[in-house]
Amino acid sequence: MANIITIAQTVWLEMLRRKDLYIILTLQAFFTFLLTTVDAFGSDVPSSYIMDIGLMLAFLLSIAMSVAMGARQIPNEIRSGTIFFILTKPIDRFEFLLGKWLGLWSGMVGANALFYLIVTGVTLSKGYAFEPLVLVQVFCLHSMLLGIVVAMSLFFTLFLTQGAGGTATGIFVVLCYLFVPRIPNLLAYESGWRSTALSLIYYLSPHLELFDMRARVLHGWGMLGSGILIGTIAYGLLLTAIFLGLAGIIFRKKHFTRGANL
Amino acid sequence: METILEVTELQLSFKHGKNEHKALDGVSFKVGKGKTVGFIGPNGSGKTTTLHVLLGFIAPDSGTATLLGEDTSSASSRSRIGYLSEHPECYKYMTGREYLELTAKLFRISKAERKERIDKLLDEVELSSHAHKRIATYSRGMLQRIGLAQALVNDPELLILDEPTNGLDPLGRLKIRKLIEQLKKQGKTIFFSSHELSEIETVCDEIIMIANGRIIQQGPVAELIGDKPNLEHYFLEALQTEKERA
Repeated sequence: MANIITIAQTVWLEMLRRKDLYIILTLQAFFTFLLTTVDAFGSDVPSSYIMDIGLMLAFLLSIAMSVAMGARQIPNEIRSGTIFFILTKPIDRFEFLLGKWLGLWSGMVGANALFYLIVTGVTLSKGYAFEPLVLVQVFCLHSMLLGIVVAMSLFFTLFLTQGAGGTATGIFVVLCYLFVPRIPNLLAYESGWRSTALSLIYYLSPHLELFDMRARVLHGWGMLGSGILIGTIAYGLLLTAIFLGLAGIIFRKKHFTRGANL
Repeated sequence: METILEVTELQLSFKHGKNEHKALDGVSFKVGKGKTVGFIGPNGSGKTTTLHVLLGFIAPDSGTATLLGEDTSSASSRSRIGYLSEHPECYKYMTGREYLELTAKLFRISKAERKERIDKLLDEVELSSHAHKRIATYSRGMLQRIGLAQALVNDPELLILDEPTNGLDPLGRLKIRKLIEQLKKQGKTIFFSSHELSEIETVCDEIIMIANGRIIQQGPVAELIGDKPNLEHYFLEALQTEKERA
């Protein structure tokens, strides 16, 4: 565990010393504050819209950041050669991978907490009333989603380049989030092998839409039952474990040969 | 004499499309405790590939490599070794001290001991005044010295140096060579790959020579050189003989 935390700390340090995190946080704050100044049809923007768009920005930016930062972790280590420094130390390759995941995920959750604070602060200042515990649930499931996305991006970049890995993760996330939940609608029009294939895709694909509970805050639907919440988190942990497990298998067998005259 | 490093019948091939290139062809050797051993050979002979197998970067097709009695594929085998490559791979966003802190943490060195050891090492490699500067601002020579410091953080029994003075100016080379000689006096086992044959001749007790993925000569430096004027002369002759044999 000590090695995992040590690697996670290097990820935090890198995040703090790179500028992209600050730029994204500034963008989020800027757009959210900008909403408060918009005068639509001669009247102020309703505070529920600020919450809606603010949370949507938090979702989009946090996912984009997780994909981009996750996709550069391992390829950067290989490109800069620091992977050789790590591999000559008494650390298991899987520990290194877990450390990368933990550092990145916790960093993303921290940044996401700041997104939520900005959105909550701005909407509260405009007099919007919501159940805080529902927002906490939304945040928990959102954090779980980021854990899955980070694990996916680490997995894809173990056999693809940084650019290709990032793109593959982005496309996969969008498909799982937007296309997979709509498969049941398509099934009504299909039969035979197409229906079987669609059903297989539906049941085997990660259901990322389960981690987006924004509507519960926006429409005042109240809290999720604890059983459903725990079940969804357990499903998220399972997906994360699958992607990290697959990444671990590939990473353990990966050969590193920079500088060798082969 | 206790064996620190042992390589037995290493075989490794790489596939380039339909062609197969045999990078290591039955490489075997031993390095005894306290010895400074030079690992020499022409470009593409298999030096770096052998080092990469020793460090667990690549798994061989067959054969075994053990460091201090443990298989090189296990993480714990690396707990008592230090490694410095030709281009020390550092996290450029860290300061020199942070980089050594990270290294010490990976070796599970206690916090109290960490500080003391890092201060001493920074002093030894003459980087104390630059310890709080980002590595991105370091010169080539400074990078090599911080690299050597990280290789020594765990007070290793075996040091593996892969062309440590390559690309350094004469002053930088001299500094690194002095540090290596100091380590030799301390009784460390050093496995040293280099193209600088005069350096190998000065520093090493024994040499292992590799060509075409095979060990072609090994033994004490003085014994191998014999009546030849220097190691370079001997090296070129041995290569010629190997070429004729092949």
